[in-house]
Amino acid sequence: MASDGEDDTIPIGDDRPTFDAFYLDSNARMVRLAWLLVGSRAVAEEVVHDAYLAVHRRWRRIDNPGAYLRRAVVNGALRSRRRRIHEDRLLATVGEPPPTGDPAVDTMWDAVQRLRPERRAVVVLRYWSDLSHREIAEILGCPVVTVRTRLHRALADLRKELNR
Amino acid sequence: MTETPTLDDLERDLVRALRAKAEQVPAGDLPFAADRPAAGAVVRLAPARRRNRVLAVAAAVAVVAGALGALALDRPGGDGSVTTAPVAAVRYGAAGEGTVGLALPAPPPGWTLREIDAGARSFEQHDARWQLFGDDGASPMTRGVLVGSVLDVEGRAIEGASHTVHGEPASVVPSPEPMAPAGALRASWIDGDVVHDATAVGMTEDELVAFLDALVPHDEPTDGVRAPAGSPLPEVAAATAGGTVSSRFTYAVPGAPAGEVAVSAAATDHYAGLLHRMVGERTGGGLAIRGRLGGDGLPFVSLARDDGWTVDVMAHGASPADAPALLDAALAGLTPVTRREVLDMALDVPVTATHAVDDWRVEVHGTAVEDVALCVWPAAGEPVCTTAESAPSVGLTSGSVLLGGEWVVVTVTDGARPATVQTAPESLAGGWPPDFSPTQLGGERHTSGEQVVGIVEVPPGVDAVDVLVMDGSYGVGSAGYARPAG
Repeated sequence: MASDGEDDTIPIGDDRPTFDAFYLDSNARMVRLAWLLVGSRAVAEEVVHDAYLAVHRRWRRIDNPGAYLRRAVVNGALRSRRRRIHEDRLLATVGEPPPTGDPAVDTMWDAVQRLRPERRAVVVLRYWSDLSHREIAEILGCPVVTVRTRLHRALADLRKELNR
Repeated sequence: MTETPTLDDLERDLVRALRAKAEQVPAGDLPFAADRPAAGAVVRLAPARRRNRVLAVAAAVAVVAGALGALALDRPGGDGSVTTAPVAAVRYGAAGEGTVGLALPAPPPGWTLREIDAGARSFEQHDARWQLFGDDGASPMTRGVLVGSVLDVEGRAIEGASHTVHGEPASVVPSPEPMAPAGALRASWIDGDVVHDATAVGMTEDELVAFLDALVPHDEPTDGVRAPAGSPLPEVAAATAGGTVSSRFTYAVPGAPAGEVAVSAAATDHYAGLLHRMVGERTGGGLAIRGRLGGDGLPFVSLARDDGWTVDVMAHGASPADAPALLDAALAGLTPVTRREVLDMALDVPVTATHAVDDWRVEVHGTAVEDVALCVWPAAGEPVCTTAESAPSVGLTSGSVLLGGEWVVVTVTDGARPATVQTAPESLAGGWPPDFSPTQLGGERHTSGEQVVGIVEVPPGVDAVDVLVMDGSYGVGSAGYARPAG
């Protein structure tokens, strides 16, 4: 079962929830998804905000807002990394989750943060969002074989990191 | 000794770690604000500060270098605090005494210097590997294929795939590269996380696909491919292109009210000079490609010089009859210039503003278009001058100087938007270092008429700084400086 939501589809037409209800239902897991991809709360919240703006503007025209939103969040997170968004020192130390104290978790998280953005994305989507290779390929707009390759290389990177 | 987890163990640990970390994020209590602008939409780049590779930009593959800009994040929650996010793609100031660009130290009669941008050091996240395959070594080639291989940081997808190369979907389209001749093709495919783009001349679509499919990928895809034994087009050259040092000078030219010649040079060409080798014509100083850009038919000449620099010259606003002569005049006068020589050119431009800062004085030299030099006159001693980085659209002029052994960054802005200076990584090769967080540096600010002059002493141990101008919650301009060589 997906950690970031069981079902992307929501009814169309009169049965469709309001945008506000959709937002309240999905915001937390979208922020968490973005945070896992970028590692910064401020940036994650901006990425998610931008994604909701895009959904809001197309609310009545999108068949599957949940899928649209997730794609927008993932691609926004990847773009934000390319823009080299970084917080200043003050804000970087405010509000970021501290180490958990569990060495296995903290060591693994450190290694995940060192993955290349495109490899980190497939890792998060596969092992946190619990999406299939095909679903990940649709989100990233790439062939399934590319997802498999990135995942394979990401796991190899993690194995190498954890060997140190 | 730590045991290597098996794949299943690793995956289980991964799931547990991701869930544990995600649970630490207290999300969900932020209201949605439909009227708040999208952060991704507010990046403002000063348009004049780009390496003028309009040619390659049009092909959607160019390096943006010399761009100035900054992004600020209006932190959600309404507390009004601001997170600044530098996106300056270049660093000025640490290139030493070598060549920092190509310019016209003695412009033709009637030409007037308008803009200076020299010694801009740009970075790439990943180097690109370029390989040229051809039927002979002569330029231009009758049949040739230029293959590029680079890590796919853009998350590209192959659209309109009509073929396969090495089993992967591949598209083949008329080359969008303006420097490629009519009839040239471009094929693209993705191997794992490496994207390949091939530009070909003298081949049909089917011939190109067959040739590419026969190439043998190296074990590491970023190393590119190799031609099999007996290939009709053997590999004749290979090179790597990444970050570079570049310059851009523009000159107003007589005879046309808006006429301008733009001269852009780069120490390392986007294609590592191999596109010129494939389709360029040999001239006295290198391999030249001539043509016209886009719908307005802007004439250009691009020259891969024998000294390794590549220079693009474009004539804006000139009549079709005048343009060739303007391009040739610029090419004939081009000379490699050092930082000192660029500064001398900038100081020949008149002083346009003088600011008193306590017992110091700051003089600004400017053209009709932008500020090009700053001189700082301390209370005692000799003045120190430097070329200025200017973003006229946001009212920012800045410079980096050594004063008595101290590194000082000077900023001049309009009163409404003072500049801030913060630490930055000296190199952005490979992307922004994940463990680097900028620190804002303190300094002095003095009002001078309607402008604000800032003077910031950069502490020892800081390798580079970014200069930002804020507009409300958003950064609208920046320049990056490396610590100047002593």
